[in-house]
Amino acid sequence: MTLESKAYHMANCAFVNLSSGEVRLEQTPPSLVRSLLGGRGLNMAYLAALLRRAGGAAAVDPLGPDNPLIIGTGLLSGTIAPNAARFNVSAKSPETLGLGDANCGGFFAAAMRRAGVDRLIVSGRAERPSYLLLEAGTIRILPAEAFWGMGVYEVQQALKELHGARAVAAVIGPAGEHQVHMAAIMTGKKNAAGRCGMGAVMGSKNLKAVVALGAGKLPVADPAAMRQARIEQTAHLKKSKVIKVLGQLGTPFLYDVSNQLGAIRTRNSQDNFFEDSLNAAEFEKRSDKMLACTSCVVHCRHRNTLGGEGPEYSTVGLLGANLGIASAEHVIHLNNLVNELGLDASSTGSIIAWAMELYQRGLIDDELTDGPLLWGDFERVHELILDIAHRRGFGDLLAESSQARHRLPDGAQDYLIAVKDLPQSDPHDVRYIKSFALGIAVASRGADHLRNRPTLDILRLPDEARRAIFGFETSRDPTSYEGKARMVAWHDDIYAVADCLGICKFVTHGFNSPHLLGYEHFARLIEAATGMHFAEGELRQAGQRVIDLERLLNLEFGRTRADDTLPKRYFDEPLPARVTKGHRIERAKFETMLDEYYQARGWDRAGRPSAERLAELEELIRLSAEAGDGGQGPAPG
Amino acid sequence: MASMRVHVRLGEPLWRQVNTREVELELPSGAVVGDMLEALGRRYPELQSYLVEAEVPPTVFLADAMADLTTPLYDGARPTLIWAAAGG
Repeated sequence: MTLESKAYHMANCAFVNLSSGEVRLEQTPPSLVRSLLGGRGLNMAYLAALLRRAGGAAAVDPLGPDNPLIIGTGLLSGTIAPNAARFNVSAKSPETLGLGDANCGGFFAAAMRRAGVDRLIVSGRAERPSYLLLEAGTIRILPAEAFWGMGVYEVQQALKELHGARAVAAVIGPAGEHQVHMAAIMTGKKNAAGRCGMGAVMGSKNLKAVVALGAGKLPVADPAAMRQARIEQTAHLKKSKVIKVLGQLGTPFLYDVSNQLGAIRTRNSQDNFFEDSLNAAEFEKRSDKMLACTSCVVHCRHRNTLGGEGPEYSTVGLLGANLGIASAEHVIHLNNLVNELGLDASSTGSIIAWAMELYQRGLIDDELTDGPLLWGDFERVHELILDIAHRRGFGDLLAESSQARHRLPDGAQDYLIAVKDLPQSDPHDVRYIKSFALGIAVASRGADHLRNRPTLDILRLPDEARRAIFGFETSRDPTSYEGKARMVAWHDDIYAVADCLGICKFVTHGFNSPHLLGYEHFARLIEAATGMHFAEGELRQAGQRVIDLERLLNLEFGRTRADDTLPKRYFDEPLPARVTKGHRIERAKFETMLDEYYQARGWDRAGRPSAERLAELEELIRLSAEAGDGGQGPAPG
Repeated sequence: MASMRVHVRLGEPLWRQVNTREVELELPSGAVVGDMLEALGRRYPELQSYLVEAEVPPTVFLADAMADLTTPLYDGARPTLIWAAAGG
């Protein structure tokens, strides 16, 4: 079937039912785009509608045919807007049994839009391994037996050989094929929609790849205005030292920052500092180029000399310090391995560290683990990662990620560094900076820093500077609980807007610097790209709407206030050394901060949005359901 | 006037501006962290913009605690300068 390109952005939504082979092409109503923009926001409305239709969010089997896999580009993805490379993948998560959502860069989002599809919603299950080919608004379901079993980069190369060099693919590796709960969807050598096991959902549908054959440029409403905005905003970004440093060193430079502070997660957060041998200079020695995503002005990704890309700071921490592995070369090996297998580096490092501590404490033994499981044992970790991806032996149990706790001895849960069953994404121990702690506790998908991290909190900016940024009073002390709830809510909103637009956090106001792109910049880009005018306040409201929609989804998954919490260790055990020594999260103060957060969000004490907001969200879900119907009835498999 | 010596450890990415990870400074007795940053900027102009710019002000740790510009230094102090940011 062919989808005509429409005059407005984010219009083109494709529904593919792999069970029946049906492909339907529908238009997303402009009012939905206006309310939720695109990317993560629109994904959530469709996810809510489709899960309800399939029997309810709590009831749907995340690895069954009724779980929709939604791949949605951002409203600005594929345009020349700075760092507008990203897309979101959403579904019910097999890792958490809750809201699944992962954000990814690279070149796929731009290719998908240039192939005429803004959003792809896949349901059902193919009888045999398959892949989707997107080109000029057409979608074909093609056999993928020849590609099944291939690694992430291997399959992308094979698809390029078959479809030509312009083919850009989002794929799963062996981990996704084996429905490992922490399997990622990958594009390029390293770009990952890593969080929440979206690769397992794709594997459960027998879907190996989505290949986009993009052509031409994405039309925009006012090309001259777009060019001018790009020029001015790029110049603005290039004045930032953060942008410059990220382009020179990549994210590994952050390891030293956390390590000196005493906040690098080490040996499953039993310790908080580790070896200097994982400092950025060691990775620089093994990097020959810095790479970028579509329209990027940062260039933060290392091409390593061992044949892969990365590692990022999160991988340095979680496959390094967190496992007691001190060799930079070993960390690069593990980084390249998880990427080729299609595993989320954050969950993989966190889950193996959890298992290592359980072994250290005698809660599990050689009989279960197939042999010793010791800190720093690179060879064993290497072997275990392969076993996880292929679900062999002890690896099969760890492939369940947090859900493995149901098959482990009592007490195992106490050592799991996860929130809402999602292992913590970054290697920063949050016991010192209270806003970071609240952020991972309330993040809609689980323990994740990319939803709301208030990094500025550690800079101890002067009162007037913080007031100018946030518009309200906060404590300058990062260890204080005062004013931090509103700070987290403020970050929730702007990061949600960035995710809806397909913009990278590294250029988003507040993530690393108060001098990056804010609502006013975003509004100008949106108007140039689509002709839609947004006041700055309206954009922030769109972000708030997305957060509330995710809250509604979480309530439908059965989440409650009790799930907005932290790993037990963060409450009970003070950090052992360095600047952060003695710090932990005090439960009573945390609960007060949570009350304040709910208040800042306009939720009641149980974390429920207002009746007025819920009515507005119901209307958005109804519109999504209608758009999905296309007059042809339900989509599930 | 009496003086004191402090050994400043430069974290990422500050040390790269001066190609050394540790700097010894001689400061007047009674100097505070702000004086130390000024002295560093005078000795290493290439470091200056990292020390005074409001975008990401340097964070100073001293004796396992976070220091302010007014935190007193002492002879033999080993402060660490870092430049805080976040990553994915």
